[in-house]
Amino acid sequence: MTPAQLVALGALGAALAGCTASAEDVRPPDDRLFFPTGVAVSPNQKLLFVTNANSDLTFDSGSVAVFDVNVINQLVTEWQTVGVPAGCTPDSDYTETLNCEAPLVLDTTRQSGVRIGNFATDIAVQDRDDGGGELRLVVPTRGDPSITWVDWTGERLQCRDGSEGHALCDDDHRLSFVLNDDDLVSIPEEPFGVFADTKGEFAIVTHLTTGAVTLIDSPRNGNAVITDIVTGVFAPDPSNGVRGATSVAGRTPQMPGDIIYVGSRSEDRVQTFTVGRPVNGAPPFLLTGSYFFLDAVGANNGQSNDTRGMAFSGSGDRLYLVNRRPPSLQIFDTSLGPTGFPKNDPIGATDLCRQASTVTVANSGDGDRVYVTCFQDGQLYIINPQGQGSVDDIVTVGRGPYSVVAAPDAKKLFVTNFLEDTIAVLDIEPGSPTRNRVVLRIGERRTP
Amino acid sequence: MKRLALVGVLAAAACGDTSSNPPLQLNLDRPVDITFACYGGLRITNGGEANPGQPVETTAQPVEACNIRSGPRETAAPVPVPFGQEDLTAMGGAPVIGAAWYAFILQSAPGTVAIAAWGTKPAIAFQNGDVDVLDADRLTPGKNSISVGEDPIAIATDRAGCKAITANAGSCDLSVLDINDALDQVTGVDVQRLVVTNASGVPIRSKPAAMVAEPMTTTIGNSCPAVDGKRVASGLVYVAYPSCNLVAGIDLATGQIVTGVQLDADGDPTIVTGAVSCPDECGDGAAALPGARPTTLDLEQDPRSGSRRLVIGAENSRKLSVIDLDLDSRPSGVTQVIELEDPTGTLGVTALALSPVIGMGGESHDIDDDNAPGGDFQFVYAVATDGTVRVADVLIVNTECDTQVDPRFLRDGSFTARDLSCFSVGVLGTPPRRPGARGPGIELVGDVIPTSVDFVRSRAIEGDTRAEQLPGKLIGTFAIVTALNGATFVVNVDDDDYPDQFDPARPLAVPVPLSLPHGLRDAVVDRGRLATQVVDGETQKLCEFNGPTLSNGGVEGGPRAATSPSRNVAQGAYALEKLTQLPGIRQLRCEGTDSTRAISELSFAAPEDVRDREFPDLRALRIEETWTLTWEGALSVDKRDSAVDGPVVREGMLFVDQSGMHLRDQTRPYCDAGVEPFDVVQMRGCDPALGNSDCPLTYRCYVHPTSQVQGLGACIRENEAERLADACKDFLTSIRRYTVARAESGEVLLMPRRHELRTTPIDGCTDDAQCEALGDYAARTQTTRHPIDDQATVDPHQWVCRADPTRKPRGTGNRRCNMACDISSDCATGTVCAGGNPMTAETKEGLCMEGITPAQSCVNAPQRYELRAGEAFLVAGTRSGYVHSTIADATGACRRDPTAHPLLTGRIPLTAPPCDPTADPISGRLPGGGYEPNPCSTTVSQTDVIPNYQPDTCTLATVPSNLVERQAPAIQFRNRGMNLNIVDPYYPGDNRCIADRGGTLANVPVVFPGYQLTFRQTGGFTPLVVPVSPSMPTKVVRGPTQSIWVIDEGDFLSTSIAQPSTRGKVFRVEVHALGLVNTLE
Repeated sequence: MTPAQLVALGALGAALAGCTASAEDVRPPDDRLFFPTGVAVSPNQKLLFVTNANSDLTFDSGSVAVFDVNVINQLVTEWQTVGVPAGCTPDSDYTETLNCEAPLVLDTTRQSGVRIGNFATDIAVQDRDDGGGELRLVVPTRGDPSITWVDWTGERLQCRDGSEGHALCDDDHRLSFVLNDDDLVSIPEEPFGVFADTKGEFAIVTHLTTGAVTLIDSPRNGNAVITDIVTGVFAPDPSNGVRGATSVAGRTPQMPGDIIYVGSRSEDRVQTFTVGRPVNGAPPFLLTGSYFFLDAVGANNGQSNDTRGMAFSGSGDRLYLVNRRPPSLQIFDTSLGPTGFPKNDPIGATDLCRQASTVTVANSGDGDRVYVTCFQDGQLYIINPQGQGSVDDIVTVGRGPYSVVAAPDAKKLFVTNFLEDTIAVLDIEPGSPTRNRVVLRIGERRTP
Repeated sequence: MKRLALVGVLAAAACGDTSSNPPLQLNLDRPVDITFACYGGLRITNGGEANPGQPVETTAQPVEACNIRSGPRETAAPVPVPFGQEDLTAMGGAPVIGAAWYAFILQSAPGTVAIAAWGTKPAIAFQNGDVDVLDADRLTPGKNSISVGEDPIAIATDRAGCKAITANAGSCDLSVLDINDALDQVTGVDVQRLVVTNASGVPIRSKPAAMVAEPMTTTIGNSCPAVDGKRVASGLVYVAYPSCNLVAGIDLATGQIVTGVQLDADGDPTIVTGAVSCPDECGDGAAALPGARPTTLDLEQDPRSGSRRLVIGAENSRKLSVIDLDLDSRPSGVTQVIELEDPTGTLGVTALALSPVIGMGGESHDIDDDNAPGGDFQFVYAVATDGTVRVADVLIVNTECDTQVDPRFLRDGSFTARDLSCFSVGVLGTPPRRPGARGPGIELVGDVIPTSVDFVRSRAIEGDTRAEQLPGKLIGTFAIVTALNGATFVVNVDDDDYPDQFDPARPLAVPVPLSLPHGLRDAVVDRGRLATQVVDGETQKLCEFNGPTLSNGGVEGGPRAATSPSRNVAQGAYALEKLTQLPGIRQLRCEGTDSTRAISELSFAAPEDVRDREFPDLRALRIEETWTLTWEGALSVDKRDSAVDGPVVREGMLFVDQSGMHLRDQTRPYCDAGVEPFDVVQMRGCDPALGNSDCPLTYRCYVHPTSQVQGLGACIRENEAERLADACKDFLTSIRRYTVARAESGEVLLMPRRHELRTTPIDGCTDDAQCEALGDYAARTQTTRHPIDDQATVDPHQWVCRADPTRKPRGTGNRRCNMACDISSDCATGTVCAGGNPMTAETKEGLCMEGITPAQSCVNAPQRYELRAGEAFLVAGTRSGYVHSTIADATGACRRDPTAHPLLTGRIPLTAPPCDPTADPISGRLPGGGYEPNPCSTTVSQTDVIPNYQPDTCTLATVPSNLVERQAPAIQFRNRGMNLNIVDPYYPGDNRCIADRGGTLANVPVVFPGYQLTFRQTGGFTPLVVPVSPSMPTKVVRGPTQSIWVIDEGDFLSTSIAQPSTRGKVFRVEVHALGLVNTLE
């Protein structure tokens, strides 16, 4: 069932039940997690943004919650050096883990969040710092479908006029049509992955069921607007008709002329794009670049597709790509060759869990580590990409780990656990006795 | 119960049913490693002679006991038994039941060990279905495995063969699994943790990355070692700890490190005692130490010499450490370091294997190490991070071996079998490396990534009726290499069933790449086959035979063009009757019993010496690919299903300023595509037949109403099309073909391209009148009429002889015939007039251009374009792409790499420096060093099929054609795997009739953009792969009786109800019959 159908069913159910819940009753809470999906950190690693997908439609909208990383760090430090902080409890199964309810952690930032559409899938951060720490968040939401953009003012998220905290984003911040013109094309269904390019001032959204890619022009001092949609980027899988674009990542998002890599659900191919900006000030568009195939792993066995995550190393010289068929993390050398063009050569791979969902890479002091969430198994795979890559650790993080992001300066890793409404915080400090362990779980675990 | 287990094994072994059904349950869960054991009846003789009074146990025992029982024997012969294990029941002794083989399969993710079993019998008696996975816990439903530890990464059997040891990365310790308890199913499984300590007793709690055990004892007849009645592990294991740069020798009886090898920051080894320390990665936490990180080990005892050696590889070091061990498997003090070639400083080793001492060379059709002409060698094969398998000899020359020596230089017999066994890297006397090789290591076909390697040896089978030199008949020493794509390759180390040397008298009989050690094994039968047949004992030549083709599409025999190369021309571009005027690939006269005809020099029917010369390196040829030689062809060949060298049609942005037109692509593809100055950029605009789909949203595909160029629109914003129609008219109505003035990795500077007469003489035109005449000549090539009937055909356009800066300089002053104009209607379709002045009636001052510099407003949309070679045949293979040596220099400008091998080229111009007659005909190497130019111009013998006209007419005679042999001008071209000659780069013209070659034109070419020669090359190198299909093979291990075990960690996700999804597999393959596969899953 698609999210749109779910929405309709929910509405129908509410109507049939004669539901008289007030707007306040169905207003999403600002101090808890409900089906957390996307997670991102600010470039200065002081803020953590989490999308709540509201996937059971308990509330009338989803939200973006803002966490102060310092608060999280203080809780962990207190737990590890002093004792159990007030309002938290040690985990009964894992002695190194502290459980803290979300309101405690969100205490100072609950009014900094905003409300958005249902079924948010991902979140990307564009740095537009003018000295005050300004940012822009881009969030695909499958329910409408639409793409929401929200600005961080330095103090709170803002997506409508006024000073109300935890406000519902207005229509200007909800992008559904090219150039915001409802006479023009609307975005395809199932927006899925998102990548924001700080230097290029754009964002790109993939579409899970259509194989389309949407470009959002996002000038740092202007409104975000959809300017181009490329359809048919990926062909359907001939065996089942499924098609889709999934993961998206930029090689060097802090530098001009970034190359964007897009993976597919149905093809064993990675397609690259760049963004063209006409000199006459016309809206930017996507330029289709070269592509390469994922036939270095599993191809001899007839399975080499369903890419679900991509992340680049800080230098852009390595691409880490998560494939579901076969379950694998694949490592590509994307450094520039003697011709000045990225090599895009496969150099290694490791076995992974099934149903891996997202990937991030972080260097917290002793080289890159790649972190992959395993939705089905409730695990996080930690991979050392040296050599051909090897699994460093497999950590149980919670039910339905969806997305992962690192704050290397804080030596922390954050995983959203979609099925239990929590965020698992892992210690990633080299040499720490709790390295690669969940040291804090934020949120009250929802029972299955 | 233990007897029941054995009975089950033996019963399974006896079962002849080889069918298999999808399992209802999975027995394995992501296996990563395997070790072997022997278990069964054992008379306790303590190694001495047997007597009836000695007790008999059912116990684990050294694998040598099972090796002996699995030895070769006649079918009806009794099973051989080890010394002391003879049947003494007639003397009143207790019966000794047979022993069986067991495999302990490590599964890292669940931390378990699965057990498989099979009977002892010779490898040649093995069948499908002989290996069975056992249930380790019969009280629990399903087939169960044994929990051993957290994240175990390796498993090995101890010296006595009684314990299986795992190294656990999750808990930084070892686990010791008692084999007797695991198999007897009576006493329950016994798994003990073994904490590793240093000499002071301090626990070492670092994460292991690899483990090997010392060789198992071969003394049969001892009970398992025990202390206080409890069985204990025995012997040493070496465990690699990357985080402390240590390979620790651990006494399994105590867990104490008693010896070790410490790698320093440079990767050099030092023998150490147990006084070592490591970061605590499983306890209080500690950061890894910097330096070389050992991650792969091998320890082998050579069966001939008895020598024991430990080899260490590090994932971040180019150095291999080879440690000689004494009889107690402790370092004897002798170490050597092999430094692998590492030009980037980033090389590491992720897997390796040490071979036995091999007597290299010889063709005795069986292993005969003691009489091998090349002498003894011992090799390390190391899977390196450059995606190759590096080879080093660690016995004689003690250096890395270059496996990529160019076979063109190994044909004269000057290298002995010893030389051929290992060409030391970088040593004077080692021949040049194969062009395009990544380095000295073995490259797998398709540039797939190797993951693991091990050696197997295969002896001749008595009574083997198979022919000699069959690809699947392995006799000698071979390496098995697994790759991430699921393929498992066979590498010839010492093929004792194949000649060692090239045979100049029969050059196709022994292709050098197939006779050399350290090369992938080829799967194609009968490489030396010729186009002949034997009738009544007489060998007859065949000319119609294109080589043997199999029903599955495969081929036998050597490389060749599958059919005669064809000439492709666009409709109307050239009269089909006159195609032989265009350049072609050299043809030879073939006289056979089936026909006499002209054949291509690339054909199977060509003489053996010609085929040898045209295909000098089999390994450099793909199994099959279509080659195209296209005049001004596209530099990139990628289609939707291929990614070789970039898409044919690309997208970029065009910026126009005072310095010209700048085509930019942020992906910086131009040097990578091989763009050179004076190449052609063909703007593709948009295809109006596709609506607006070639354009971004809010743009439309606009076709100017006066444009006569078919299928070429331009993306223009919806609201600007009408406004720009006039301003952009010349741009929109031209064919939009430009010349590259300067190429950088991210930008090419374009200049408008003049429309040139394709019959402009190669050394330049002389005057306008000559151009006018040649214009008429060019027009007549498009008619089907004979010259004598075609005088009325004239070109309506005016041609003038001008110096042309838009073309690559050639001849004096680069004078070309350009089309002149006053206005655009004077020009050919798709060209527009620039500089014309309609007011001057007598002379046309303007020139027709194939594109003009537009206003920026005309080109603000994304620009689709093709990159094409300028004035050259572009040679491209569907798998090889366009091969070139263009790089970006420090400024980003594209230029040819001055250090590149001359064979790395893919352009054939119509003129070239002369070939050097002193050059080697195979390699092009000059006697004094260096190479002759490539391409180069020469004269070759060419056979044509010439129309046979009746005297003084253009009417064909009764015999309509003749074979005529002549000396023809040619351009000789070589690439990595192929040589060929393009004949007739220019044509003298005809006198009276088509193809009579009676004209007097000098150096006048007739080629035109898009003219294409194409042929399908087949019979290229085809690697022999083991017929298993793992998803992600992580390891290959040599098992009992030289069986090959491929460990597949990857999940297979089935999309068919007839095939189950699996969580990893283990394949056992018999080396003597690669098709015999037992699959565990």
